[in-house]
Order: sequence, then C-alpha cells, then structure tokens
Amino acid sequence: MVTRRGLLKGSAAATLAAGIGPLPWLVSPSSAMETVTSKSPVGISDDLANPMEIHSVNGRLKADFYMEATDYTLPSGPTKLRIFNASLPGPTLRLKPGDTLELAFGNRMPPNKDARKPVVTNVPNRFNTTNVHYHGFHVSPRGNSDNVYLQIEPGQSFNYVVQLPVDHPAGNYWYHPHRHGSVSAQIASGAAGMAIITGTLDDVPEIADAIERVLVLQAPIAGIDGLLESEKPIWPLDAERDFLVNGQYRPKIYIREGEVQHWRILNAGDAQFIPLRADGLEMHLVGLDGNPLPMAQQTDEFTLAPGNRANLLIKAPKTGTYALKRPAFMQGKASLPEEHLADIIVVAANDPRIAPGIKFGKEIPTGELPKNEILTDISADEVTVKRKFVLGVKDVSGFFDDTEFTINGRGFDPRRDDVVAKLGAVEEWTLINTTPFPHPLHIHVNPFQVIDINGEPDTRKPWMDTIAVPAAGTVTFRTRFVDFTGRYVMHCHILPHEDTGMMINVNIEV
Amino acid sequence: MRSLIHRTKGAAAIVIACSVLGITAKADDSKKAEMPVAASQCLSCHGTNGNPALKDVPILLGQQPLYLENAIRAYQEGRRTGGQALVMHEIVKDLSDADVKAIATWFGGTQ
Repeated sequence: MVTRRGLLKGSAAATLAAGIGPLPWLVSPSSAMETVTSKSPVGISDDLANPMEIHSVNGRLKADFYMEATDYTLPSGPTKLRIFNASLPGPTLRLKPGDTLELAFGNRMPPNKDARKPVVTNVPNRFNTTNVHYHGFHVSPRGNSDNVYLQIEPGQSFNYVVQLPVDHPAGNYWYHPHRHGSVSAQIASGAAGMAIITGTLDDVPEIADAIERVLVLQAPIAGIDGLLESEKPIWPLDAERDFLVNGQYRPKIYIREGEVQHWRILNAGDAQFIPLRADGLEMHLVGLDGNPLPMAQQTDEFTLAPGNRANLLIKAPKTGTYALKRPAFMQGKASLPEEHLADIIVVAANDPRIAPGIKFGKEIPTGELPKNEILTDISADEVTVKRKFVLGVKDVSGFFDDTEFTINGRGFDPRRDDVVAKLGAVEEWTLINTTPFPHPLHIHVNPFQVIDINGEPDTRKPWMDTIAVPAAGTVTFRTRFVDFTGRYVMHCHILPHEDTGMMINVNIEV
Repeated sequence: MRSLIHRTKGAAAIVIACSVLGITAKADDSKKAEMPVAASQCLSCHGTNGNPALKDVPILLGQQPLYLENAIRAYQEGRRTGGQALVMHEIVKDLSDADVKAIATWFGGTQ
C-alpha cells in the first residue's frame, strides 16, 4: 500500500520542486500558438514557477492535447496520474475574447478494466473514458464545443473547436475532464489546468504593474499500486491529502519588500474547500471566479470552494518568511486540518537575485474596478422565471456507499431535461441545501450574479459560476440565458457528489 | 466502511443517535422515550447529543415542546420564510400532525 506520509515529504520538498517538475511537452509544428516555458516570474531558481503557458496567436490557439497515465512523484512516493500533456497542472491556456480555441485531443489512457460491465448511471465507472470541459467559458455547449456529454474512449481522438464571443468576460477560467462517472477520479488525479482570458482587470494600472503568478492548488490521490482504480480513497471528505501548488509540495514564493504581486488562484481539487491565509502579509481580493469585485477588498482570509478562482493582490510589508496556509476548519460537519501550502519569502527590495528590469508593483487600486461589460446587474424586475432546487442525498442499495446524491429528489439522468428554458430568459434560482455539508454548485455556459446567501444579501453582487451553498443553507442567484441554445449541466463541484448523482440537465431552446 | 462524512441520513444516523442517547428498544430507563422514526432526519444537522456540529443550527434537545411544534408548523405553512427557513420547509413539509407532535415531544422531553 502506498504510504501517504512518505519519505519525500518535508526535507525533500526542495528536491521535489527542482527535480521532478512537469515533463517536457512537445508542440506540433503546425500549431497556431506560442508557448511560454514554466518559469519563476522573479527569476530565482527555487522560486515557484508558473505553469507553462500556451498563448493564442492572431485569434487562434491550436494545440495538441492529450490525457495519459503519467509517471509522477507525489510527496507520498512515485505513482501514475491521469493528467493532461504529462503536466501537473496542465498548461495554462491564455486567450483573448473572440479567439478560437482548437484542441486536437487524444485519449491515450489504457483500456478500462470495467469495460465489459454495464454502466450504472450515478455509480463511478470507466475511469479511463474522458472529455474536456471549459469551466466558466460562455460558449456553445453543442457539438465539438463545451459538450460534456461526449465520451472519448481510450485510444480515441476528438477535435474541439471552441469559439469565444468577442465580448466574452475576461478572467480566470480552467479546463478539466467532465465525463459523468469518471470526473472525480480524473480530477483527483490532477487532470486540470488554468485558462486565462485577458482584459478588464489586466488593464488596471496597479495590476498591470504587478508580477503575475498562476497558483493551481491540487491534492492528487495515488492509487494503491499506481493508477487510481477505485473511488474509495476519494470518497471521505476528511481523507488525508497532500496539497500541491503548481505540482509542488510546499514551494517557496518570493516577494520583495514593499511589492504587490497579482496571484490568480484556482482550487482544482476534487472535494476539499480551501480557506486561505497569509498572516503578516496584506491580502486584497480584486476578483472572484475571474470577474472583478466592485473594489479591492482587504481580507485576512477567504475561501475557495472546489472550482472557484480568485484574483488576489498580495503585498509584503516587511522582510521575513511567512506561510501560505489553509487553516483548520469545518467543512460542514467534517473537521479538516491545517495545511501549510507554501513558504512566502519576503526579500529586500534590491535583492540582487532579481533583475532590475523585472516588474515591481507597489500599489493597490483604490477606486472602482472596471467591470466585464456584458455582466450588468440583474434587477428583480428583469427576472422572468423563478425556480428552486433542493440538494439532498438518499440511500440506494448497491450504489457506491449505497448513496445517491440528488437535486429535487432525483439523481442525475442524462436522458431527462430537468430545466427547459427559452433563450433570452432571465431566471432567479434558489438552491436549498438539506444536507449538513456545503455543496459548491457550478452551472455551465452562463455565469450568475449572487443575490443572497442564507437570505443575507451579498452587497458585492459578484458574478460567479461556482457558489458554495452552505450546509443547511441557501443561495439565490440570477442568470441570463443568452447567445447559446443547447443542453448543459448544473452540478456539485465536490466531484464524488457529481459522479454519484448531484447534477441536472438544463436545455435552452430557441 | 460506510462513510458518514458525506451523509448522515438514514439507518446509520439512527443507530448513532440511539447509542449516544442511550436509547434502545429494550432500554431499561423508562424515563427516556423511544425516538420517533420521523425525528431521524433531524439528527444530521441538529446533532445526536444536543450539540449540533453546525454552528448556525439551533439546539433542539430540551427545547419547549410547544415552541418546537409551533416552529415546525410555521415552517410547514411558509409563515417563516427566506434563507434557512427554506431548508426547514423542505425538511418538514410532508410531516403529519402526529409526526410534528411526536418530534416536538421527543426533542423537548429528552434531556
């Protein structure tokens, strides 16, 4: 059995960071894109590197992508992970509104061991069958776009063509597999990467002046003997996990005294929430799920549910070594321990290891932040339909852990349309959680504006695509169904819950 | 092992409740009534030992039975509205009058 707390933790963290990074990735000569190698934004050798990036060129990003069982050394020891392009996390995609994303995707994983067994919906199955979801993208859910009903079997290839509207909101998005039944196993394995659509916050002078970091937070799970083949290690919410930042265990992050850095942070985990603290440093939130907040908001702690992203400006007042931590907290009734995610090392402003020409942001924006133009406030008068969705769980003998998670009393059925709405409708949805654990609900294609949580108005009225419905609590949001018809889903982003039923189909008709 | 981490509804929760409260069908302590079946759905949030793990969920054990009965009926009939009242409405909407009284009496009388 794999030892969860192996020799490689602790003293060997630096070795891990330096020696076992992402494997080289080969680019097709015909690809319409530019690549930026994985590197430290301050140029210090043991500083946390940003994941490698693939940028669009002249309105196109065309690249080869694949999922493969890849050798990787986790803190608990060597294993195989199902990951994109042999990289943990996957490459960051950097696009502009109006771009076309073309991924020639190949499923290079081995045949499913349960291929001869019939699939039972809402029971985890066929961990090597996959597809790709573009989380948060406002794009068509049909055909070869953001179509999560596709089943790409081992050995098969599929060409994705995803057309971003010219007025697509700028922000932090991400990509990950979304084939019902194998989502939790593949994301728990580390199959995920950031996708950035540039603009809006990037144009704020104080943010443009700052060094930018991408931080992808993951807690990959190894199988008993290599590739993960069972849902069991993923299932307990309080399972012991080793949290990685950009694939590294407890990396070092360098900041200069007086400096402000812009961090794009993604919780790409499969189940556990991540409250974040960096005591001794200033944290200023400027965006949630990529969308700007009304103003920079200083905070000591904020929480990313699985699937959430944040734009954070972090300021270092004094030299010293600080910790980026997840404090101990309660996720509903589950008690989760403190996790030390990274060391933040604040060096002198004139540290000779950092070249003089490297950006040195020093200010936090003080005025109103710009908005993504199409995401205008939705007033009560604009709402055309109100709906409610009750999140629950029930016993189903023979299912995994005899459990099926439900929305409005029913587990997921791919054949059923749970919501049928008209293109152009403006709806207010209330999510009612009857369980003692929070559920982060994510809806595809169209973002929503959060109105209240447990009946308390959120005065920021943030635009998000993933929102944690508190344990025994409620969330109300409003959304516009615009631009795209077709079927897509809303589901819990605690992915074992999604794979075991907490998902509905939404069908937008002309 | 059957996980109680994602879910605490159903038979497993009842077993725990009975164990913690010292309630069994053969209980010698005649002062403690047997838990009504309908109360089992309350335990996952309101706790099995009078101390809910969720900080914003009220303690029911030892509460006045009449208060509990009135509160449940208010949730059923939608006279308490918005926010977490919506959760309670979904939980209690299908309870019979007898269930409401039994739950209120049991929680109120058990301490």
